[in-house]
Amino acid sequence: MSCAEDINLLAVVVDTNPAAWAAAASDPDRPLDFVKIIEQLLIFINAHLSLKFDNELAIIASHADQSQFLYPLPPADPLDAADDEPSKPANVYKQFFDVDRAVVSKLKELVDDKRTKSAEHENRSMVAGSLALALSYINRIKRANENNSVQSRILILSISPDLPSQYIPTMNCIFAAQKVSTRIDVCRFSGRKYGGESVFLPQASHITAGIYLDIPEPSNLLQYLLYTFLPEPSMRKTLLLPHKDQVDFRAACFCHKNVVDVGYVCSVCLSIFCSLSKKCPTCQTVFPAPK
Amino acid sequence: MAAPRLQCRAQCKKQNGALFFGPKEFSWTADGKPQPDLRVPYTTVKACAQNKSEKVILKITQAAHNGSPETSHVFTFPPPNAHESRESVKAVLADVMKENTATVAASKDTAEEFQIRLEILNANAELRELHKSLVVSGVVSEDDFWASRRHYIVYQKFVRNQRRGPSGTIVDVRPQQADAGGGSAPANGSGSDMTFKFTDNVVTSLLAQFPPVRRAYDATVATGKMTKQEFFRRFVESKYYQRGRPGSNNSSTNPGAVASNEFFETYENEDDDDYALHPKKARFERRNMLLDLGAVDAESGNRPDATMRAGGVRASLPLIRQFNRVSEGVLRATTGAGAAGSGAKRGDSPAIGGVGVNTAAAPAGAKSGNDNTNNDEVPADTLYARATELEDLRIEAEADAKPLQIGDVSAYFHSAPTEGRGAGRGGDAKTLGGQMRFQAGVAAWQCSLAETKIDRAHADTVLAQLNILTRKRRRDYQRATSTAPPNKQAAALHLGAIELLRTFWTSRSEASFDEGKMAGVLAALADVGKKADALERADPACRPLLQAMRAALARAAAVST
Repeated sequence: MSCAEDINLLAVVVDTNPAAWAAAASDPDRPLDFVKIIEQLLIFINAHLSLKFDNELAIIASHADQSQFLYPLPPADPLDAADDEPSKPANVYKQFFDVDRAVVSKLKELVDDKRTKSAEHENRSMVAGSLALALSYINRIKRANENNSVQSRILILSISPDLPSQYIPTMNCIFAAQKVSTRIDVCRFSGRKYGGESVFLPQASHITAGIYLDIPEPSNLLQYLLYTFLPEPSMRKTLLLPHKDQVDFRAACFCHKNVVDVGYVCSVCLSIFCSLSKKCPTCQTVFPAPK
Repeated sequence: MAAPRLQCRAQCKKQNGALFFGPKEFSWTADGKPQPDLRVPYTTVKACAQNKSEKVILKITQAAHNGSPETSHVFTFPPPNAHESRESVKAVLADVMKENTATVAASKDTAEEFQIRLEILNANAELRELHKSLVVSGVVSEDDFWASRRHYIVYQKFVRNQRRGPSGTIVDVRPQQADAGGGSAPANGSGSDMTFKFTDNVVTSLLAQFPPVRRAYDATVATGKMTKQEFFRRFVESKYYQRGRPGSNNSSTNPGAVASNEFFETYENEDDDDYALHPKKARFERRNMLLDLGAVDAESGNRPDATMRAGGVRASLPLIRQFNRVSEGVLRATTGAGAAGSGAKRGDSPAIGGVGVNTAAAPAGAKSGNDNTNNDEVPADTLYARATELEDLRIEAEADAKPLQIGDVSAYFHSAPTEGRGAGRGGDAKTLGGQMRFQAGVAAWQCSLAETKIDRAHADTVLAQLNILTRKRRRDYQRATSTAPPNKQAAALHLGAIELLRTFWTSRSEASFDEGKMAGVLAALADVGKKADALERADPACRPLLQAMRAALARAAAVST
């Protein structure tokens, strides 16, 4: 039951895979501008924050080789930060300003990271790690607010292809989200040269009762976000929101991490394999071979 | 070698020798010969016959087997112990023959089993169809079909053997209105004929309701001294039926009242037995209302057992007393004073048949004695609490989740080295350039949200797309609530395919590999596949079901080749 005291927590996972965004920018039909997308996302986030005073927020960047919190940041060292803090313009709401500033600066830092050579960025994104970060943050907020009920949801902006090698961690995160009743909503960008059909993300929204949307017109991303993803979970049963109807329920085999649609399942630990073996590699159960 | 069942001397074909009964066969060796002349396996023993004359002869008939026709062997048993030997041989052979017939009767196709199967099939239309299509056509054998459906047969057997018990309703005896239309019920009823119908149900119920009536019934009608009509006439006249109705004691309306009441009075008094050691109103302990169903000795449940009363059968009392006296003396003599002491303590235990429960109950008595002393000390509340707290009923606290014992964690979480890293390395120059541009773009980004503009050109298309999606959802939801029933033929075909596949896979895993049966099953599966194609052409809606079936059939076919 939604009461006025519910705290809504929105955790946004932004896919910042440079290779994918670069490919998207050079797409002839529908080029994507990362900066514009992020701006629209920030407006959406401000809208979320403005709905209720105690709405909470977390933003995580899912990069090609790491996941990082963009907001909220750990309390910065007072000595460093004091100098280059830009002063807040007069007519900007403080909370919005904080969020925007944090996101922009951290993103710049992340993308501009001199540690890794840009050539080494592969076309992948650490979604599983970011999901885990989001879930632990949600857990922390839930425990900090034991008296009020916290309604949490995760929004994923995704453009990278699925990583079958990350199938197991991703599914574990999805089931953990289901356990704590956190909905996972997904915005998927796809075009000719970037993003293909995702196999695991629609499953994530299906299992957790979230919404999965393909975004055909990325320039109007804000419209999609405000229409579909702004209402809080308790409102969703009153509204009829758009959703992708067909879900691809394929899984990746545990041995080679290839996506399979017909496989063998161990009856003890339910792990999926593409070929029959005498002993289950996960739980070490021995199966009698058929004659 | 196992110990022989029996060894004895016998004569066969006018030669002396010895009969030897082993575990699986019996043999006869003539005197002086090292090898037995005659060997008869038990499974072939058909019958044995004996004679009544002076000579003790036993003829054993061996059934036809292994080419030899039915033969009989005649053994003469020499004195001494001729009769005993013959009897013992007969006993052994009787066991053997019983085993022989038992194996035959254990075959499942007895008439009763057949009846049960017929009943099950008649009751269940779907099963009947399946049976007809599979068994009658000969694809799956009858035994196989029923082997996986034993629970049906067991249940049906149980249902057949159930008998309805006597009805428990307490019937109200009323006179039948013989002439319903004619005339009102007479005011005093003295001249009217009231007809009562006493069916078996009514009789059972009445006898259960009124114990004196039952005693009277047993004494008079059951022994034949009085007819049923006479008895029940008395019953109706007596107070049991009248029950204080107006006119019950009035001698004009109820002429036989007094006599009938007197008749039943003799049966009312239960025998006041000095020998009955339990008073008529047994001691009733209200303190402990719990029923101890596990108690096996005389004091079971809450009140002491009042059904077994010493001296219940008056006539046998002298005999019982004597018996008890003698047995006590014997026991005292054999076990000493200890037994006598405890025997005396339990000497008041009921002994209906005269069986000495005395000392046999001593250890049990000690146990129940314990219970009694416990009951005195503990208050009733704790007693109930203790008795009603059961391990199984307690709600289990959810056990902490046990982590999965993964064998090789690195292999589980990380991909195999053959993982398709062709997800696109950003190695070639084009993508590298793109990434550089991306980096530069982000670095140069000055975020001023106030100036962010949304292109309105596409806004309407976006809205339209979203609306389509929501409309689809609503329609799907409405459609989902009214599902069409599945195609019956497809469902039947599906069931048949499942049955065939089950036979196929179980027979594959069994040791006995029957080629012919497999071929039959495979042929039937191919047939099912063809039928599925025809059905699909007729009704494309059942395509998913048939597709799944076809995949399973293909798998079976692939494995068998």
